[in-house]
Amino acid sequence: MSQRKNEILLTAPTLLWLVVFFVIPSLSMVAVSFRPANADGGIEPGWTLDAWRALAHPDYPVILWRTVWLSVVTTVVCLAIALPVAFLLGRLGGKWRGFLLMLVIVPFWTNFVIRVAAWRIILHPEGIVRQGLVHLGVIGPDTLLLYNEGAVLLVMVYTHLPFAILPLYAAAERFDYSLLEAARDLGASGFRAVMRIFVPGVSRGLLTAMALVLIPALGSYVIPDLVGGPSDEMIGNKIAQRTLGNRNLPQSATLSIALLAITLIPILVVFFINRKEHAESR
Amino acid sequence: MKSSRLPAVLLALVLVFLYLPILLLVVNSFNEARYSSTWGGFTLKWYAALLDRQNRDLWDAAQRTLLIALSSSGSR
Repeated sequence: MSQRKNEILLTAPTLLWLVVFFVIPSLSMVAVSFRPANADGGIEPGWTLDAWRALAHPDYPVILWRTVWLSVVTTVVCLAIALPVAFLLGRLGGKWRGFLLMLVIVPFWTNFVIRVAAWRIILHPEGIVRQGLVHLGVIGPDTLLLYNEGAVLLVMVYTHLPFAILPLYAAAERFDYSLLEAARDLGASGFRAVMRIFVPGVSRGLLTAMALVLIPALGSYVIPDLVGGPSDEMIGNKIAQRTLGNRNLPQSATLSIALLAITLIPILVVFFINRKEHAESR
Repeated sequence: MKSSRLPAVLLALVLVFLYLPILLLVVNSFNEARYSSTWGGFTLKWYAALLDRQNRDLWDAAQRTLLIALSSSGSR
């Protein structure tokens, strides 16, 4: 009985923290979504479904869909790049491994917004990259590298790539590379050995990497704001506009709930796969 | 085991990709031109501006940043 008491005492601070900083704000967001908005950006007393009905506006499904596909493509590209990189890092000897891993982490030390802004310089219409590509005839003189979905995708991959490399590296580090040699000895091609032995071997890392890239990607708004055009907005931009610009708190609450619902999908997928593996390993 | 060169080439490309914007930022800090899309010649004036007493607000902001960073990470 006293052990049970101890457990409650030990978890109480965490529970309190979660209730104060997560449960209460989330519930108040749900409450605000049913309130009428007023012209000053506040809310009025009374209850209404206006903000929920406004979600039916034809713009929103388009933006939600764009948010999802940009995030999914970002995740797929990040995983495809991170997998061979982690494969190499996990196989390397101690000295090189530490050094190269350090090189992957160091860009984090530069502020996120500054790194995104730097891409504006690289892709700038007057910049050397675009001028060079036009000169070489790779792109037409009217093609912009900036303010389109391609730019948003490129910078999203750029900012999220380390989040894919690090968990995959952690999984690759624990992978027994002699299994690959065994597969080769038994006649598998190198590619086949990697796909059939290495990839399943780091599946837990793949799952973590997927969650770590997909979830923040779904909520991004700085990247489409800085390198995207007006037709490349993601749901995060709409939430920011409704909160800071044409202030309509109930509307930003319903949009946030929609984003939360979408974000829950990858979280639940990871949760259930993990639980299944747990049950099987028992 | 004979291994493919592909991962090593890819890692090199990834590192170039990760560092290109940061490198450009450093280069641009010496750029004479007001707007960073063009190169206007070498200068140290932006560093001089950083040290200038007139830009007191920059130092105040840096101080505040340091204080908040220290207090939010030092609490454990």
